Amino acid sequence: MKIFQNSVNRYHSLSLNKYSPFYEKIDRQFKHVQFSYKGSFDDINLSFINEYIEKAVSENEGSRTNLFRIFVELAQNIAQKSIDKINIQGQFIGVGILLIHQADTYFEIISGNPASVSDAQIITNKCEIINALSFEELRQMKRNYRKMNEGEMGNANIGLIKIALISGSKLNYTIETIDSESIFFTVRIIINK
Amino acid sequence: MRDLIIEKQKKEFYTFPEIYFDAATGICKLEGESFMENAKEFYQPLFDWLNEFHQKESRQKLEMNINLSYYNTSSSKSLYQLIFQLKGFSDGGQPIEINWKYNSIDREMEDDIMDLQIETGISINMISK
Repeated sequence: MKIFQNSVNRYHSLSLNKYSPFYEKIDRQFKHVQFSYKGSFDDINLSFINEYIEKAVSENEGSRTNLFRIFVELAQNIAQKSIDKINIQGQFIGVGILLIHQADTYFEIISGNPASVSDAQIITNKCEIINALSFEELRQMKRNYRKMNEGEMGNANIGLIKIALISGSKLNYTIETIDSESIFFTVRIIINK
Repeated sequence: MRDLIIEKQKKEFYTFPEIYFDAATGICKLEGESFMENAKEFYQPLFDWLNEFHQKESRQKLEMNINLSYYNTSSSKSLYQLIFQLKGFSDGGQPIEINWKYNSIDREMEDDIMDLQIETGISINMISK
């Protein structure tokens, strides 16, 4: 049964910029997906994406919960960390791309956003450490981070750990150079049904 | 001392839980979904209320009933802070009871409540529903 009845492509009328080819590349690479969104990750658009997820996986509560939780972490990461920003009522909100693919036994959620070149090594280190840890080691790491004050770290570290814990899979990530100032970060997560 | 009452709210994508902290009985309810960008801002009045209750009624039992179907990372840090605050009261001699209802199929939340117990060192009655 095809849960997603229609493919959705909700492109904002965002102006073309140096990041545009990277969004388009991902969209071409994953043209088989049932859901594709590029734009700002503000609360109104997040609400729209969430409605879509709820409809799409309504018959399986466990899968919907996991998909929703991972979507939230990825979306908040884009909203906060993307260096492609648009001004919405005085607030600068991150722009990125998010795709959802459904196969018989799993969902795949893909997110991409540009980030500062200085973040490249930080992202790589985080992902590599998370990928090297066992489930129990990840729980321990989450406990350690949660105890820290806001100033010591952002929520992003816990967010990536949570994604790994919920999905039970490795963070399949890529970092591509855009120019001397920026990189494009993509992560693909498999969520078994 | 006044009760702390915050109605459940949904603002576009974000959801704020229902709060009912009863000053007369010390029975507190935190229920719904806790999903917001800035949890610290939402939870600060809860921390303040609990501190005031502890200062005024340090011998009275405080019962915290949590029933959240979901909380995001930002809320998770505030929940840790709240439980840790209760642990402090407990160490000071105040009777504290924490009851936490969760969905029996929600393995992630079950693990997370257990983790919160390890992190804070206080016992939580986990009630699977």
